[in-house]
Amino acid sequence: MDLVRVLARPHRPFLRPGMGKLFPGFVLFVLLFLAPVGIVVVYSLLTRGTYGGVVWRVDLDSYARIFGLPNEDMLREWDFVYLGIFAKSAGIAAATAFATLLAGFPAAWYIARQPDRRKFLLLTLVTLPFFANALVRVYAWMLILRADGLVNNILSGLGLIDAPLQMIYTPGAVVISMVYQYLPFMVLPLFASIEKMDLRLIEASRDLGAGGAVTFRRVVLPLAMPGVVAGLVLVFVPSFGNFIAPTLIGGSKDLQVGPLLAQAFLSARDWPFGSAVATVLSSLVLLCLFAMARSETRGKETA
Amino acid sequence: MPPIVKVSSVSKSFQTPDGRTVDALKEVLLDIPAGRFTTLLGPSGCGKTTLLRLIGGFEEPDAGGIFIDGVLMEGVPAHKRPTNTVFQQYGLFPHMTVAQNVAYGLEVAKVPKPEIASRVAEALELVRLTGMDARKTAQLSGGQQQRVALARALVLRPRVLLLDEPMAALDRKLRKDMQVELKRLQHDLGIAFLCVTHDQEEALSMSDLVVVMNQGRVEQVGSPREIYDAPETEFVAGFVGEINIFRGSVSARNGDTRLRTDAGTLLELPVALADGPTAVCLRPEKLRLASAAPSLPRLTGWVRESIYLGTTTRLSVELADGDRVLTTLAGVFPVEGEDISLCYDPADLRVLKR
Repeated sequence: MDLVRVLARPHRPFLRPGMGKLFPGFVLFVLLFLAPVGIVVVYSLLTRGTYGGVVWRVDLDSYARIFGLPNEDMLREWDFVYLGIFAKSAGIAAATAFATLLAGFPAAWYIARQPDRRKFLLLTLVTLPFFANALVRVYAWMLILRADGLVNNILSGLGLIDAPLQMIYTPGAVVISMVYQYLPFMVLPLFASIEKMDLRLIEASRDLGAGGAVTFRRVVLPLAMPGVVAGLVLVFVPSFGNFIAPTLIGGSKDLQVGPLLAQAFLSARDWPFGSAVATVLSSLVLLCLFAMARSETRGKETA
Repeated sequence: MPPIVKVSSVSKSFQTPDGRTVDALKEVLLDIPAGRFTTLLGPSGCGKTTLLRLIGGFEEPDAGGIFIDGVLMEGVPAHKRPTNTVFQQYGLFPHMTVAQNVAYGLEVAKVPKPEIASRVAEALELVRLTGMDARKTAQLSGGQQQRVALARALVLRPRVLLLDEPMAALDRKLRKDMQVELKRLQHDLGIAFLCVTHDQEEALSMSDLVVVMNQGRVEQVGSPREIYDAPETEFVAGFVGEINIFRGSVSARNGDTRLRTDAGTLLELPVALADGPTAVCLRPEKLRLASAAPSLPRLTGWVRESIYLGTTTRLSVELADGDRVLTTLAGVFPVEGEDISLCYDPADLRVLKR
């Protein structure tokens, strides 16, 4: 039946009347977005210059290093250290995204159930962290989490601990600070889909014999799914490549993609390698977005 | 047979957003008979929907108790009550197909899969939606959606089916069909239906028992005929169908009893009443031309308004003393301004509680 619908859909020409007005925006998009991305991709395929920059000779070794392939010329064995960094960063980003979902869902639910005027106020409050610079926000978490920081002082003041807990410079600290940083990205799309939800459907579910947990799993969650997926992606994507949080409060032994990128350009002066890391990162993120778009359309077909 | 639902001195009030307290129900006493079609009828804000929600378990009463099958429902949440509801906008799950909607309650109750399949098929057949299993609810018409809502509730075999304004979202033609259909379903299944409506025509045509409510109280409980022919209060008389209400006072005189309306018209009463203020009512169709029955008491006046309705003519007549009455006459077509003489049978007058 879906196939029939797809076939029956009228053919839409790529260019339609009125699209000329989009031309300036199109040019801007190409110049400011596609061109820089193109430069990164091209650089990733070139040879490293001695003092930074690139030599215009095609060399795929940057990718070989990322994927851990051996290289006899450079006396390199199989080595998956960079893939490990990608995996770890992805893990931390995924943990961040799910933690943000757990924190954001009740908040979004509460806000969506308020009178209109208070909704606006609360949504503004949710976006408040955005008004402070990202660096400042991470520093704030440094003050809270460090050995003589707020949390340790309170706990030892209460006599609950003898020695300060090691919280800063752990992956957990990175997750916490990123949850804080990206919470609005989760709350806003969740709010949008929860607000549209018909509360009477919850009553209908109760009426049909479903308790709270079953109602949540079978009615609330499926209906909130577009917001959940959008929120997860919106948090996962920037967390994956985040540079500030892992640099300032992540441990030095747990290198992540963001700091790796910065090192490649600033310390190692290896532009092709940095570009290759950036390209791989962007590709993974794109894959994520495609997966989301697909689950979205599938959701629409079943909805 | 004991009542299936017993509403015992139930009160419920709400806080409005601006801080006022509204009494939605005031010490309501009511028995809903088992296996019958009962309708709660009243204007919006009369408390009928609140009562339905209290029975369904979506609200708890402030005072009093609700018994279903003799069991006090206090503290029993909606999902543990032997009731199911057809919601006003149906409340169908948009992310499920027709069959999934109907199967939902059975799945939640952990009914074995083969039994679910057969009961879903049976329920869909009952509401004449066989073959629609795989449709999305958004692809259905309003009438079909209502049938799904009915099937979804009935498949669980509730002790009472609650219907909240089930026809409100349907157009007039469909409404008539569904009234017949609902009546048929109720009759065939023998489940008690409790339906909320503000449409008196709907209430009269579907119900075995009509409960007329006003301002949080029950005004009258009776069969449709009792409600229409023998309204007990001014509210019931005025809400159900068109009617002439005469307010005045009684003065016993020379053996017979008459009501003098506030405007001055004299009416013969069927029974002797104590002196004092009272009100009586008379259906428009009970007024006839005086020439048809010369022995009956008369009311004379002139035609203020005449509306031709095909088989009948609807008249608004101003009587000599200034009272206005409505009447429907068949076969004659008086024009506006014409003098007219009407008659009535005192036995058709109903004395109302004031």
